[in-house]
Amino acid sequence: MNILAEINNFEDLKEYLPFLIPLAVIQLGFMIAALVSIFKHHKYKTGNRVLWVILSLCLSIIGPVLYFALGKTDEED
Amino acid sequence: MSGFSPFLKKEFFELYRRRRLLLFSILFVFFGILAPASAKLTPALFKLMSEDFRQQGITIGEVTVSAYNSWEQFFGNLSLQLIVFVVVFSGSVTNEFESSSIVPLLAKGLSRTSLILSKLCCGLCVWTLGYWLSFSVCLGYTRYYWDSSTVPGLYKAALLWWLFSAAVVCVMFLFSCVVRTSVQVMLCTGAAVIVPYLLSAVKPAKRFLPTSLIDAMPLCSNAKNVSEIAPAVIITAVTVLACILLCPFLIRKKSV
Repeated sequence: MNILAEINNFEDLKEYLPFLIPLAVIQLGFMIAALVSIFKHHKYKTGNRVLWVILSLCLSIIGPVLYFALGKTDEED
Repeated sequence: MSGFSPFLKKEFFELYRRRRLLLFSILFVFFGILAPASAKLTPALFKLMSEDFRQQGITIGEVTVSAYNSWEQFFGNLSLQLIVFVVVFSGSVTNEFESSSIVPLLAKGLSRTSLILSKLCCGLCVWTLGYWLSFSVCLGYTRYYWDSSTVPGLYKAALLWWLFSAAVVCVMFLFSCVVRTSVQVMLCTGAAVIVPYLLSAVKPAKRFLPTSLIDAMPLCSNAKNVSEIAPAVIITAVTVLACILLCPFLIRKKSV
């Protein structure tokens, strides 16, 4: 099964763009922001660096949200 | 009830300063977009997998989606949003008492009633605004892609889901007044939702249980009427009020 070939067969990719673009921006933006913050800090409120990197990479949007809410310290960057 | 208004302002400022408001806004918008996106992509995904299914002897016909499927996704995702909210806010009261950071404020004359009611008010406001933000985003996208005639009872279903979620938030703050740590708050709140959910397997009890309010799709399609679950609606509303009234009494007994 060739996924790319199937995607090319989509009736009109333009139809999907109104939600694909914001979803991708939010998801990637959150993940990059979380990873930058994780590597900038050495101390976390809960957990450790490895845990937060894995969660941020694997749990789509929930991982970064949990990091910012429960892992990141309140000190300024 | 001295200090309610300043403490409420402080709570909102704290959420703003720690970027929790921004975080929640983005999260709720994301889930608002995700529901119609999943519904819209379903036929394409089925088409993508049809070859695999055909090899296993399963034939899939043309899959059509409507506003109904989009809202089905939305209401399905709401429980995840509520879980994230409870996880983040479960330490709102207990952390203040655990770290004793509330002691100077209490010593300066802030009443415990003001403390818990402002925390409860702040939590309910954030959840309510986030919930309807997510709903509005989903509504906009769903109307853009599909005709809304398949979901005539959408608003009442959404309102009842909100009532249930408000009860969960209130119960969470009630447990915050009783137990010591945020993990205990999460576990007790989880139990308070899971027990009625399991009990709803007993058919005669179902119409009395708050969990019947989150069975949104029959309400959306008008297959079920609100009058059928009226006792559950009343019980949920009473739970919200009882929690708001009980919290100030329970917080007075909480040791710092």
